[in-house]
Amino acid sequence: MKKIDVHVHLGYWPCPIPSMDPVDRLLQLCDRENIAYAVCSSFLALCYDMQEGNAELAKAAAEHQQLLGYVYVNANYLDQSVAEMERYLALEYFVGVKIHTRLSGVAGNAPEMAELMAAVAQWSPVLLVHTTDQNAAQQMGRYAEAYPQLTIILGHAAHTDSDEAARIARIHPNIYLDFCCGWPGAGKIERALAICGAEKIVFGTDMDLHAPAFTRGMFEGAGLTEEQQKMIYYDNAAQIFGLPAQNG
Amino acid sequence: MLIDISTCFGKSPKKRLRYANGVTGMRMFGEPGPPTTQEIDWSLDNLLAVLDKHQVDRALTYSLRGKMYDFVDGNEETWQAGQNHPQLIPVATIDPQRYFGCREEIQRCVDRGFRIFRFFPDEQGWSISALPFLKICEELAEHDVAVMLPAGGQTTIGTVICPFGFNVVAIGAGYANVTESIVVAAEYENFFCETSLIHTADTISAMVAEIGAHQLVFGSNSPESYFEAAYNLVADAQLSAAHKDAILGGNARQYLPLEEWL
Repeated sequence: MKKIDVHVHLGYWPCPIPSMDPVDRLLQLCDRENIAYAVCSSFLALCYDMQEGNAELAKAAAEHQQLLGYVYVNANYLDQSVAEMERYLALEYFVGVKIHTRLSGVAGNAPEMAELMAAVAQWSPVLLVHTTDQNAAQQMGRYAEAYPQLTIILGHAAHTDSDEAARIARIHPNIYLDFCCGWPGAGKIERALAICGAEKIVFGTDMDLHAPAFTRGMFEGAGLTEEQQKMIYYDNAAQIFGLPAQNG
Repeated sequence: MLIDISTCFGKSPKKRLRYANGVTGMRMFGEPGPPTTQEIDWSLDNLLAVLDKHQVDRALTYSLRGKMYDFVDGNEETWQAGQNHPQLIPVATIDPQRYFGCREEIQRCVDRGFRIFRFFPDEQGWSISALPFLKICEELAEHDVAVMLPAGGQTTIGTVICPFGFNVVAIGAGYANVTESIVVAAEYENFFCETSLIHTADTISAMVAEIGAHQLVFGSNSPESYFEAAYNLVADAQLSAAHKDAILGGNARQYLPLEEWL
């Protein structure tokens, strides 16, 4: 089934991944997994240099229709983050913003993050945010309430707190869950389906830190109906990002 | 033949997982909050259902009772499960911290037919380089057995445990430490890597290219984890059918002392 992967990174990892160009690697994985669109953030931006990383991603996305971009923004650099959003969100292949609380070292409830979130809500229709636990998910719930026009995807679905993330997604119409995670805990997706429904879940893999087949395996294990697969693998994300429908 | 080398069954008092403990421990900025929990069905019935669903021919399994409470009763429970369900191959466990009775339990298990011993130093709070465990290894080295240990200290496993001579399987290496597994496997022929969390894209196929397929063995961590997630890592890897077959069962069959159970 055709897929949209909402959680992808472009860059090099400190892991034994076969050496090849990171863009070629992503494209190869997209082809293998039937991923029509991979929405990426730059790992260089997350780990080291926001501007350089966003620029590198912009170049890749401009050259490859399958690759879409999140502008990475960092609460430690508010003015520069706003400038990055202004620069890239005007481009059709940038479709949202990415925030990583741990790698920026700014907690979800810090004043700097609140300022950044206000700016993100002004500039971007979509935010993918790394969530480690229920605290992060609850904090994003508060932002979702404050900024109803902003769609927030809870990356990793708060890890082992995914039940709480699902409850937050049920409450807030503008919150969605992405289940890529190093921990493939059996049953977490079935419970989320029961709590918030397939309409609040999107397919994210964290590739190429994670093999897409690993996350796909979690969804296969959850025994999705065909309709649920269609929604989770493609339709929900297509709607969020304004992408063509499955048969479009 | 599909062989899953990493499964368990039993109960948990806290609905709290080892991974969840880690997540709770690394909460950012000391924000307060309840411990993270997940509902997991660890029952033997659920394990058997998972194995049947995926047509697993044999699963190496242990009772959580042995890990979390009493290894003698736990090994007994594991043994009974193996007797009642031929697809289960019982794995014994010993907690070296108890000291008294460890040697006798090893002998009792070996006499009964246990051939795999699995240890939990991280969860039980002891070190694999501590003398009590090394004495257990001396004892085990007298028998035709293999040992399973958690990944996370592969270099120590290689330098301290592999010289005992029995085959050792490191369970659960992931992106934080799989490089260590590659290097240790290249250095020690009796070191094996279980694959359930080698989930970085194409790392399993890269490992096969680097060290060969013969030191990789499939485990799913069922019923805690989605079986399919671990299975796909091997089944969908860019590998020949022969290499996949080896990882999914052939290697366990060849390199672990399972003859009596197959």
